[in-house]
Amino acid sequence: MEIKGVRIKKINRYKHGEGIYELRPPEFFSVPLVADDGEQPQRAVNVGEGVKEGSLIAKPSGRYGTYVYSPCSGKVVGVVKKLNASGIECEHVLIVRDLGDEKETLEPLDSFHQDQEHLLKRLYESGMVDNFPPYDPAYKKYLLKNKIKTLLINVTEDDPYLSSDSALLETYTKEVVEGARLLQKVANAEKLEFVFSTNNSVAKSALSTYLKQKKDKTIKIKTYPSVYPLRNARLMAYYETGVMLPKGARTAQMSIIVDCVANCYDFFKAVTNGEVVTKKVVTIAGNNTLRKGNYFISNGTSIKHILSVVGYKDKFVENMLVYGGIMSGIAQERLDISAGLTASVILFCNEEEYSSEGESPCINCGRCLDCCPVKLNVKRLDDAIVERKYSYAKKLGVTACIECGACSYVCPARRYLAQRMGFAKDLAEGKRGKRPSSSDYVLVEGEDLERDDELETSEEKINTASEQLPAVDEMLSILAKKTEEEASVDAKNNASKDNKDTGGNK
Amino acid sequence: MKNKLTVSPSPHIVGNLSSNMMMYVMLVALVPTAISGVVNFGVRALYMMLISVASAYVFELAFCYLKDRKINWFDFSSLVTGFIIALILPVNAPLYFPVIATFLAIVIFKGCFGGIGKNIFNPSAAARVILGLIFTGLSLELFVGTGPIENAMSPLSYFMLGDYSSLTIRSLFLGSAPNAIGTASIICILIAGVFLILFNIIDLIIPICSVLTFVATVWVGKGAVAIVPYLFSGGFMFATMFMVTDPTTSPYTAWGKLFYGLLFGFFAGLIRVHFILGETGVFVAVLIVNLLTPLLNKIFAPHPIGVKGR
Repeated sequence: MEIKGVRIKKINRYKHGEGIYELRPPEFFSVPLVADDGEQPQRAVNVGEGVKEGSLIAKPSGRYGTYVYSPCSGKVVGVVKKLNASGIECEHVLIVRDLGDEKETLEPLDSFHQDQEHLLKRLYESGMVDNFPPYDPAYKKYLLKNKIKTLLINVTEDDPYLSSDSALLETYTKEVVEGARLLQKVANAEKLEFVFSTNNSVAKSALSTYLKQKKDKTIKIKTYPSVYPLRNARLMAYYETGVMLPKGARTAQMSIIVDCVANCYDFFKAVTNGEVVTKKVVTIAGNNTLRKGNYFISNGTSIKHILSVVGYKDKFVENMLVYGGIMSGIAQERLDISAGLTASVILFCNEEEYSSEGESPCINCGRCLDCCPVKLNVKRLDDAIVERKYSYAKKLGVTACIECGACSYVCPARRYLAQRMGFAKDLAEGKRGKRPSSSDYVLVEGEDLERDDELETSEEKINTASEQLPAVDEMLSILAKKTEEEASVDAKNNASKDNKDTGGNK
Repeated sequence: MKNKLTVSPSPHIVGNLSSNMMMYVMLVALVPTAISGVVNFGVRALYMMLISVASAYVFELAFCYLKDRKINWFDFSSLVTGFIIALILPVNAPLYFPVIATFLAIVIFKGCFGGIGKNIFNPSAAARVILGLIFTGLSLELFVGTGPIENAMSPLSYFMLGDYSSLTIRSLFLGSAPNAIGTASIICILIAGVFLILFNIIDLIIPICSVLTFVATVWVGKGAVAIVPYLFSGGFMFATMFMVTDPTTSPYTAWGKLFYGLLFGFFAGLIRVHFILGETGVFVAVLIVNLLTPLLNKIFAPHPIGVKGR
């Protein structure tokens, strides 16, 4: 399989023995109830109630929601509606910390209870959220009835600043490997593989020495060239299986599941200690921060607090705060954004680090086509979108775009390719601001730039697989049924064996 | 504490290579050929280059001003075009030749088509061909004259007559044989090519493919003895290195580039072998393959992964 992408020089490489720091907790948390653009959960606490660390503050109301737990012990002082770090409006629970050190945990699962059913339930309850695109709840990947061949732990750090996965894997090798084993049990996968890119050799050597010590030969280690993008789960499944799934489809359809190191670690803790997930390892970097490194950052810590602990150099003028990697992260306009569980990198950059070049005419060089991992005709799409031929852009396959931004990075004319593709993609999927239909769409003055009558009238469904996965309860019942069946089959087998044995005896 | 943060859509960083950088590297790559031109043909070559580059820059700015386009003072693309035009003219051409040629290139073949990136012909090749048509005879026999060079006919003119006696590999490589200013010295062109490939400005595939088919065509047409003289004279190497690889007029897919190179070599060889176009022949071949670029782009358009149908 041809791996396409751009080679970006790693700025923040993980050094051996760097470790992970604990961030001094803030006095005040504002916990977002929605990570990325997930479902709105049901709040379980009211203003004035006291909470302990790890007590439930929201539970899922929809089909694929997540549990949210309190990051500290304290008192709920308010609930506000504001934007989370991904720009989605949701409820935030404001908690003032007190000095209590009580912890609320789930019941640890002993080895007797570590079967698929219990583990899946624990995965659901623990409140884990992926920190790689598409930022789904962690259990969602595992909800598929077909047989899983490979569980792939993706340790490729494609973003030039990202080093949290390496840090976690090197510092907590045992926990991560055991967690991966547990996830393998959930998936019922035959193989367990770790995928590295060539630029995180520290983590790779840590894992291989650990495996050598344990004489474990069942875990396979793979190495990919260090290109961007590699963290996208769908793309990784494509490189592994050769089939690119449509947007929204689960990689489990191709009997492969892609997961990350952070989830392995969190799941290990959730199973053995019963700890729920309230913090994630986040890389804090950028020229404007003083103490760069990997930190455990609790859900709901405001970025202002992080910066005040870590230290910053400059005034907050003309600088950029990026939540997520520099290649695909979101530049924030305010500092009171709270870090959620989807964070992997938080960057505070000065003007040397980000580019603010304006675009110039395309010179037709074709570098965008060379680097596009899904082989889009980027140059043609750019022309089409500039000319507002959105239906033509859809025909060219703009919906296949994974919005990695490699084309924008590599373009010598600095065309705003990724933005345009994202715009046309949203239009083609009918997502852009939930546009009203043309009948109640009144243009006051000038020209409607988003208007494309052909696109609006076309009834053809877009190739995004919104196949319905079973919800967790259904999945659990399926699993229970399966175990019953298996038991009965076993019983039958035993019976026939017995018969045979007895027959032999006769 | 002011909360003034810069907000922009991702990605927030861009690669090192910008359009201007590409043009800058191109200019640097052309310098060795320019030096060899000055060394071999005298100071007049330098005057030609200066006039050509200056007029190209002025035409570009003037056109942008008249068309109300954004004036970019650091746009090196016009300088590259002007530089190349001077390098493909003979040293004893009248000094108004580069001015006419840059006018044709910058205003007619680039500006009128929509500016940088929108031209369908390579501006310098098109200008050179039109110049040859306007001054018929003159541009073909430019070397016959009272220039500073004693052996006034270009090696290619001898070769086309079937006379390979003037061939010395050394003169072709160092550029001491009479030729256009920049096309004479093959070694400088090769140095520039290596430089451009190292800086990832041009694709190696186009020069290699065009040389392959050019050699094959000449071999079939004129026999093995003509390969070396034809390949290293008359501006073929210059055109493959600097003009066919022009990103704007060449296809943007890998397979398209491959076929583009093959076709260019074939047409250049065919014109050399069968038509008496002399020095201009290569540039006509450039224009022919320029016209094929949209077709090649369409044929070799990539198919996006995960999208059904075509």
